[in-house]
Amino acid sequence: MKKRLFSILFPFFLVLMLSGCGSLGEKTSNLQLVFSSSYHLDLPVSFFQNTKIAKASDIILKFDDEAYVSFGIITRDLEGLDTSFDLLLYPEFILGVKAPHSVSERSKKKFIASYNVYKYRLGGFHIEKKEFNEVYIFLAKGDNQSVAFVVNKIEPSQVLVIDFNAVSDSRMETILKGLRHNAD
Amino acid sequence: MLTEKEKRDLYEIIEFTIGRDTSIQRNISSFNERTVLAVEEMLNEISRCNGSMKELIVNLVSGSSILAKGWLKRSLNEFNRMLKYKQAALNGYGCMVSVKSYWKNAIIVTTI
Repeated sequence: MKKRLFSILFPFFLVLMLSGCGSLGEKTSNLQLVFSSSYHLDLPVSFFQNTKIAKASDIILKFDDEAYVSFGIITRDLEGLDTSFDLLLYPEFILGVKAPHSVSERSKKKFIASYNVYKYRLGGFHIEKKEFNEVYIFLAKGDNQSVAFVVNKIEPSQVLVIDFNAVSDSRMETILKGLRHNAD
Repeated sequence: MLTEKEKRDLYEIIEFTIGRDTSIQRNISSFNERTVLAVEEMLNEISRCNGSMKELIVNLVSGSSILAKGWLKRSLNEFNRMLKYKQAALNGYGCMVSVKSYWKNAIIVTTI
C-alpha cells in the first residue's frame, strides 16, 4: 500500500502554509514550515513526498529512508548568554572555530564541552560556510551526521539549528537553499 | 518490547538528565528498544558535558570504563535508582541547549 503523501503529527503545533509560486507562467505549490518569527523553510510540496512532519522539542522531518532532520531555535536567553552577546559568534564558538571569549566562565565551559560533543557526535567533521537568502550558514559536516547553524546577517536575534541525521548531500543542499529569513 | 515499568524508568532517566519534556512524555507508550539505545547513546555523550554523569555511569558498570552497547537495557531500573539518589550532585547538563535539543528529537524519532 502506498504511503500517505504526508503524515502530519500534532498538527496544532505546526504552522503550515501552502502558496502558489508563479514562474514563467507555471505554477508550483510550495509548503512553508515556520520555525519562528525569524526563520522558515519554503520548498515545493513535492519535496515532502512520503515525509513525516512531527513536532517534538523542535520540528522534525523524517524521510521514507529513515533519515531525518530537525529544526530548532536558539536565543541568547535560552542559552543564558548576555543580551549584548553577538550571535554571529555562536556557531564559531560552538564549532571550535574561535576560542570563546566575551562570555561568562560558565558559558565558556559549556561552549568548550559542546565543541567536544560535536567532535564525538560528528566524527572528523569539516566546516562549510555558505550564504543564502540573507543568512549565514555554518555547516559542520560529519560522515553520517551534520549540523548547521543559521544566523541572519544583519540583525541576528535567533540562531536556527538544523541537525541532519543520515540525510543525503543533495537533500541537505535543497533544505539549506529553501531557508528564508522572515524579513525577506 | 518494553514493559510498562521499563518505559516509566526510561522516561524518568530522560527527565533527570535533560529535563521534563511534554512531547517526549506524550510518547511514553511508544517507547521501544530503539528508544533505549538512543537514550544510552545520549548518556554516553552527556558524560562529555558533565563529569559527574561519567562517574555515575562508570560506577554502574563496576568500575569499567568501557561501556558495552546495551548496558542501559540491562540496568534500567538500577540506573534510574542511582540517578534519583545522585540527582543533586549532577549539577546540570553542562553543554549548550542546542546540544541537548538534538537528543529530545532523536528520542521522539524512535517512536514515529
